Amino acid sequence: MPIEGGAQEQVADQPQIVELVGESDVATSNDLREHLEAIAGGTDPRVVVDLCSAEFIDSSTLGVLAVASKRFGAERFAIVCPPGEVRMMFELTALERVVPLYETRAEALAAFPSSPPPGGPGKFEP
Amino acid sequence: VTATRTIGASRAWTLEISADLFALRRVRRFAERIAHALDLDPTAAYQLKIALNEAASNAVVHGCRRSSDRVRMRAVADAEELAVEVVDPGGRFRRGAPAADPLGPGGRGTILLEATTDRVGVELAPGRTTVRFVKRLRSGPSAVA
Repeated sequence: MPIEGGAQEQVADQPQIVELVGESDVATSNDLREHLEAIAGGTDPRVVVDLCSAEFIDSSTLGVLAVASKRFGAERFAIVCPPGEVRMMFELTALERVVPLYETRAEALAAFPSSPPPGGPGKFEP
Repeated sequence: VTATRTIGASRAWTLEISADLFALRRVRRFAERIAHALDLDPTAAYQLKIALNEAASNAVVHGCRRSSDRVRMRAVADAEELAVEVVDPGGRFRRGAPAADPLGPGGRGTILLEATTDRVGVELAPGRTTVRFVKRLRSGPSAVA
């Protein structure tokens, strides 16, 4: 995906991993949204957004992640973000209380049920 | 365009960018340079980067209509505080809507700007929006209250 150094991996029976590397801002948040929308509309709508290698994220990126959290729903969406500067963005906006945040990718993956929950994600835009 | 100069006991930095989303990374480098020059602690430095990035993003996204529009930033530091101005030609600052939905798409830029600075103000004039914010550099009695 055209997010700086963005990488994507898929292991059988595991959620897709979207990794944000470097800086994410209004120049990249639209690509992130479209990418997450594509996963939500795919055959296995589960995703882990990994921010371990993110150096900076802005309010527009937070907005995309918040909407995605709502759209994917419980047990289909997780964010990996260890304590640090990027995590501070979730704390300052109180998003840490409403999105599923984990400190490691292993913890995030362990939180997914072994098979995807039934039904599909909702709409991205209200 | 970037410049640093000394005015009496204060120091000033300026940066001008085009109405280009990809220019925002230059704003963050500008914030890092100021933080380094002022020897800010890592948290204060990151807060300055967040505040400048959000103010400049708002200016580029909502304050500029043409690609020829410019956003001008000026930061002035004295012994007590750092005062920053971000000026765009739009005259239509968009304050994020109150977050009725905690998982809604917007409204976090203003929250971040207020959370990372000590004072924020917006001046709307025809063809000119100025966002000003201040970060205290020394914790005085007012910081304790």
